Amino acid sequence: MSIFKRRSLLGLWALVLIVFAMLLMYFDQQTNDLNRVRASLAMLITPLEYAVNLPVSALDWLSGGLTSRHTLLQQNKKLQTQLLLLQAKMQSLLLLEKENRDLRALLQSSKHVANKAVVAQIIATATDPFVHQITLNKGRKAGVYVGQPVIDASGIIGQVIHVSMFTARVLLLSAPRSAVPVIDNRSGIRAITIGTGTGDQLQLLHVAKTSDIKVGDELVTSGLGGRYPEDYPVAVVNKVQMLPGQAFAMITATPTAHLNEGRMLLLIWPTPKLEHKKRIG
Amino acid sequence: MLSSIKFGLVITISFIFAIMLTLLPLPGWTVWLKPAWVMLVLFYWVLVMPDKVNVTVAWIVGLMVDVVSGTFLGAHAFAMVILAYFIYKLHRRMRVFPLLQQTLTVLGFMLVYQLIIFTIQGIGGDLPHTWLFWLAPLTSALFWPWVSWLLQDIQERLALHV
Repeated sequence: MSIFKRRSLLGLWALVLIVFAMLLMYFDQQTNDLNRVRASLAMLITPLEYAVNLPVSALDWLSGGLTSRHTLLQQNKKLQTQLLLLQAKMQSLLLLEKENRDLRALLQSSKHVANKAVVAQIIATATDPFVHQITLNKGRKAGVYVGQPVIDASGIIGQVIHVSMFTARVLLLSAPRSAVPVIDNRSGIRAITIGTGTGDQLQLLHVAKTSDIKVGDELVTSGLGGRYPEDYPVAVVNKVQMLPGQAFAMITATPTAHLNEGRMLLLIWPTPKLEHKKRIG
Repeated sequence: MLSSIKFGLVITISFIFAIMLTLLPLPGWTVWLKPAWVMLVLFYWVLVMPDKVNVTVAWIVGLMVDVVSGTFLGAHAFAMVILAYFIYKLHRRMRVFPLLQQTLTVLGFMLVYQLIIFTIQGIGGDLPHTWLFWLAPLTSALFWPWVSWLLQDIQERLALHV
């Protein structure tokens, strides 16, 4: 340090550091070469993230321990009824699935059905609100990979963008950098949603004014990007505007998943579509 | 020699605490109000010990903030090096400012910091769509008297002098 006591040298050194920072930014934006650097730096941060999360999880644990027997029994009963109902529904679903598979076999096409899924916990949310990222407590050790879809009970949450040994960063649907290929469940119109950065609004890109998309339409993943598996709910259209001056319709939608709530999410491993390849080849 | 080890330890711990404060989960309405804790701590150390904490520390700490906040690697490092350099340049004058004037100076620096981050984010494509983004420098400045008082207290208790 002492050699930089002289001011002229400090200015020069600052310039070198600035140029170095700019180079880093350039490579981080343009290439994936820095992912390993980021992953190893994230390892240093991981204990801090867990430490900060400790009071929160301690509180969870404490409130769990202090719940009365009565409440627990009630909850248990409620859950059992719910389970029974879901199992009943499941039976018909299994039948449908089998039927669907048979029909698809007849048509010689294939669609993913079963996915491997793992429950992950959110341990941190991004500090800059417009970055729209969350950190999960599952990393490369659990088999998480970059580009992996993340869902919750009601829809798509986003995709994994960085993986370190024990944690993974997820880019939420609502980030301006996040785009999801979707299809309108009612009319079959394809579109792409992008985040607006406001948390609960998605925008549909380049939809022709004549397209048949109405308020209340459900948008599900089309699976065209190859990232997200097909037919997971993404958003519900909440506003359709045809502005005379604009070339495309202005359509916004509300995500069905609870992007800003909850602590548990599902990481899914979509089954590779082997048969598709066979068909093409 | 011993004092320099102690000094390094205090600095490191203060930055770790600042990063933990940054990571702290807070209720939703506070997202735009979150002060730039790490920059505040860096500001203090450059101000009181400019020959030990300056652009090099700023660069390293900035990189950690980039990892924590998920911005492009180097974005916060870039902003912090620039600020640290100018704080270094002006530290003699700023040290003798009365607290109010010092706080206002911090506000000015924090606005520049936010502007740099804003510009870099803009080049990367994700800009916040709200004016609330510019509230964070204000809260940072409001926290300055407390942060500087706390760090000064720690420094005096541990008898760390330049």
